[in-house]
Amino acid sequence: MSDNDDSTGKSIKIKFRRKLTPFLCREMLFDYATGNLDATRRVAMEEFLRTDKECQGIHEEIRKGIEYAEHLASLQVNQAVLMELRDVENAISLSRRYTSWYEWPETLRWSITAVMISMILAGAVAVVPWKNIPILRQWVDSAFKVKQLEVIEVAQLPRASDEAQIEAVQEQQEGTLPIDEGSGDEETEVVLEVLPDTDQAPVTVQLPLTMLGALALVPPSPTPNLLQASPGQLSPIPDSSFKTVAAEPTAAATETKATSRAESRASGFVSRAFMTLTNLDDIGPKIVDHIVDLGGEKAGEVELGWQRGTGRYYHFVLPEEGQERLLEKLRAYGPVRLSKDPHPRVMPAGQVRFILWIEAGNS
Amino acid sequence: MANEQEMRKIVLFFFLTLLEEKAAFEAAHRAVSTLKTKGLFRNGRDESVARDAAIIAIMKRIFEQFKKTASRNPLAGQIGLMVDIPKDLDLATWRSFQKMATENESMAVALSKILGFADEAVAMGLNVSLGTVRYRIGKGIRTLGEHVKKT
Repeated sequence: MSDNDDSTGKSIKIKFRRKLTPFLCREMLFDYATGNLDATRRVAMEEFLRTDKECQGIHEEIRKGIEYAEHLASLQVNQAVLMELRDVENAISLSRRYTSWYEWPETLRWSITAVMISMILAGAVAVVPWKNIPILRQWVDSAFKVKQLEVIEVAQLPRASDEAQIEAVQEQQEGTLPIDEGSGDEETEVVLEVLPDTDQAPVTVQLPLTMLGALALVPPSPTPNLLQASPGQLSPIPDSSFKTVAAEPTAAATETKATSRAESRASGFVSRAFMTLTNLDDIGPKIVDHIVDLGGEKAGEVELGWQRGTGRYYHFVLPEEGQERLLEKLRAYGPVRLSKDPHPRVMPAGQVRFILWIEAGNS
Repeated sequence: MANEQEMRKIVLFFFLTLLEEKAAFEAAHRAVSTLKTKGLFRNGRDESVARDAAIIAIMKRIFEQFKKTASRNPLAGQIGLMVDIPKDLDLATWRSFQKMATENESMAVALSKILGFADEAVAMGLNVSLGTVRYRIGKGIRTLGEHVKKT
């Protein structure tokens, strides 16, 4: 019971002040020591403590206990222990940490993103039937024609400084300009219609396809152009005065041939052999003789045993029965590495196409 | 740094209640691991009563597991490895207090008066009423004072 009631704002006088009993005092000593008593109780406790020795002793014990507890609170934990505890991980905490995408290292996240995009693109390229889409098919066909012309042009201007390019050109040329039976004359010619600016009638010109490749790449110049230089067929025509118009029969023929080439693509083979010989200058001509003896004929532009750098290049067509005999003769000079690669070029039955490269050096 | 303060409290709690450094370290290790698993270390600035109560509950549970195996030969030969003890502090008083007081009283004193948890958090963590906690603290402090007075 308190002396006054603050909630009403009025002072209420208590006629009879209740004295604290020793039991009540002991029970409230801890709250008194920790300051959790209200002012009235605190005053009553102080009055009681002045007279009660036992409560004084208990109060002293509580005060000392609190002091000791505060002293214990100042204990410092070893930093090494804290460091070790900071790094504590277990399977669950690790899995929780790493299941969050944003907790992953940034490098890993970008790598995964890149891999996912690559896989999606690769999947799209592999799954979508591009060849069955009409628009794309037309585009691919037109691109094939352009590429064909470019290849022809490169084949006409071989660069002796680039051996690999020469070999590639040889193969590509043969792929696009077959030398086998019944197809050479038809594919190596094209019809051009030249329209002069004057009132002259259009002139139809039949040119080898290889010439068309060169013609397409000749820039306009004041010098006489290729057509003007053809004696006896065309009258002098200014360079800027002619243009190529659609040559319907030729375009249709080319398209038909392109389709037939696509059908035969990757159905043929080419045999490739590679050797390293020390005395290539002596053996090289002998190998040419062997090839010729076995019925081989050169294929491509360069002669058999064409020398390039420190090596020799043999590109030839050989009767199938002579292949093994040739290999035996070659193996007599040194080890032969042989491979048979798929190639769009289809050889006539009983013939094989052979590319042999011999490098000078220690085998 | 809030996490570091909590780790310090955890280490001190097991050090004072188990009275064996090796067992205390293992218990603290397990407690920290559990707290990380439960994500209680994520919000370091969250000093709510509920969070403290959860920490206290975990510490009590782990204490129950370790008290059976922990040696009651307190601090023999291992003092100072985990905790830096001031020279003017006599841990024998605490040891004798542990023997005389009940487990609940010593735990309440350690949590409230030494580690500084709020009485409400201690009550929630120990799953008892606030009055019970205050009673245990008062009785424990008085017992502790008796031993201090004797020494």
